[in-house]
Amino acid sequence: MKKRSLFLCGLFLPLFILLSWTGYLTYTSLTAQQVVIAIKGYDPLDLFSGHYIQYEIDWEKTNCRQFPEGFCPKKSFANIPRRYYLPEQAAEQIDRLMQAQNTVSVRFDMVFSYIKGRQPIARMLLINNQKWFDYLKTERKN
Amino acid sequence: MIETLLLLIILIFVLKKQNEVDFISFLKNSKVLSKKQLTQIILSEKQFKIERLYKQKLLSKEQKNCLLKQLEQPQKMQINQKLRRHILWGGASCVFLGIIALIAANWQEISSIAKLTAYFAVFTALTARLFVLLMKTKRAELWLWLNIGWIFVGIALIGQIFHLNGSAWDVLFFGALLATPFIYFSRLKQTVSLWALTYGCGVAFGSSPEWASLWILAVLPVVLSFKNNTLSAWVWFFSLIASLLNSLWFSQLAKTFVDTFMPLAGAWIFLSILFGFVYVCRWLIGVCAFTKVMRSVFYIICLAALFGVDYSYSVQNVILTPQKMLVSVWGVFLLAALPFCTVGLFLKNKKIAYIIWAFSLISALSYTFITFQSAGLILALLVFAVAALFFAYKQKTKSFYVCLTLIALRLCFQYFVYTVSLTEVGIGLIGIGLLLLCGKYLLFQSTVKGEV
Repeated sequence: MKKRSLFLCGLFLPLFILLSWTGYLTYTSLTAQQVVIAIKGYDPLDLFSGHYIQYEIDWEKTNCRQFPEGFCPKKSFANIPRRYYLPEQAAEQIDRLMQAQNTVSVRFDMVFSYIKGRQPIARMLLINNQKWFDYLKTERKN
Repeated sequence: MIETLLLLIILIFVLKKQNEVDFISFLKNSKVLSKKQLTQIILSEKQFKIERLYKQKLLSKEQKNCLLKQLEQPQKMQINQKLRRHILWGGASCVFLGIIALIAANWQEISSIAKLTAYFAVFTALTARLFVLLMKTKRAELWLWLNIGWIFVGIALIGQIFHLNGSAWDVLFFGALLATPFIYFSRLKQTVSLWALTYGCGVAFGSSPEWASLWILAVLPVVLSFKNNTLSAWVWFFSLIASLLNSLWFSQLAKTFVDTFMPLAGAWIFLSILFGFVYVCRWLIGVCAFTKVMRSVFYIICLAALFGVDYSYSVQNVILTPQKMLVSVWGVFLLAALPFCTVGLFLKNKKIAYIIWAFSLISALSYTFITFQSAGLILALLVFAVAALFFAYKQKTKSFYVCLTLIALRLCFQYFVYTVSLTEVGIGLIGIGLLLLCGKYLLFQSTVKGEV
């Protein structure tokens, strides 16, 4: 019986860890304060390019009053992942838009779930204040 | 057009060759005899052979009678059993891949909750099955591998949904760390060693400073490795030292200390991984019982992959496009195969043909499936076609089927290149799979009836 319990605990441990991790990420992204941060393109040249966009935070264009601290917490965002995964075709299109950000008047923002002292989690990419897929849909219609 | 012609030539050649050696196949293909007549001929030929063996005193009277009795019974399972199984597997695989393609095509429309729920449901089922098997038999290596693979799938899925970042090495490390409890139940030294190597690569090359500091956890694999094989523990010991050096590398406090010994640390990491890699390769070779020629080919591929990875790792900070990376790997393949070819030429070895064949195959394979360029694709097709002809002539069925499979893969690749939508690919694959399954049912149903 004891052996059986040990077997059960051992085998289900990875499942439990992955579940806890997912639960933690979901809880954080749902309960945390939403902040909108301006971003700009970054040239992603690696094997997986084309499946995501890589960005840098543009603090100059970001509204710092939205943070509970009253200023932009640059340190909290220093080590965050700078990748946002997208379907291949959309990634290509958005990547092109990001590269031409200076010539074409397009604004990119990223919505983050932010809790002071914890790592922020990227939630949604906004293009001209629209969700990226809505923006692409309207673009296709036009 | 050229491809279809080539395929036809091969098939005609094989049929012709088979007719020369197999009288029954000739009778079958002639379509002059009815199925009933054919069955009687096959039966009488087998009876004749058994009688001959009895006359040669190779069989006793009892054995002869027993065999003749068995012959009269229906022989459903003996007729083209292998081919039937291949078609069944092929059809099932096509349908499965088609479903995957359809899911992938609608990936964005499926909600994150649905994806995660499905993932954890499958994971629970896999682990439960493993648990039941382990309680009964204590050996369930395949299910262990499935569970470990599923952990990596989970990491990738969670990473994609929550837009987490990390290098491939970090994923290797985290996956191997989570797989530790499964490894404890493994009874195969190969599983433990491969896992230890994955762990080692993950810790040694992982880019995250926090994870690199977890090198201390690497003590666990050493203990587990000792459980199955002392030598694999030594492999891991080298990796452990490498991890320690790497964690120091990331540590700000020890930066100046390690900077002084950086070349030494780099060499140690490289050598430990190389040692581990060759060691695991040797095991794999032992398991697969490769021939000498196959062993050489395997070593070439392993070395090329190793140097390819090392090259890509060293030039990561320079501008590296996927195309550049893939072409460089192809170049390494060529460079690795070339000395073997030259040595074969100078020694005038009997196996020279095999070596040149291996060289061509490796170049073609790497060029075809890695760089995806049209010249390479045509070259690959020619190599496969020539090889198929050669093996058909030599009556080496297994090798012939390998070549045919490669040609089929090449054609599949063409299908994926020219079909834009993934939905179409999915529907196409499901259609092909269903056709194969229906074909198998109709074809063998009639054959079995005819034989009986």
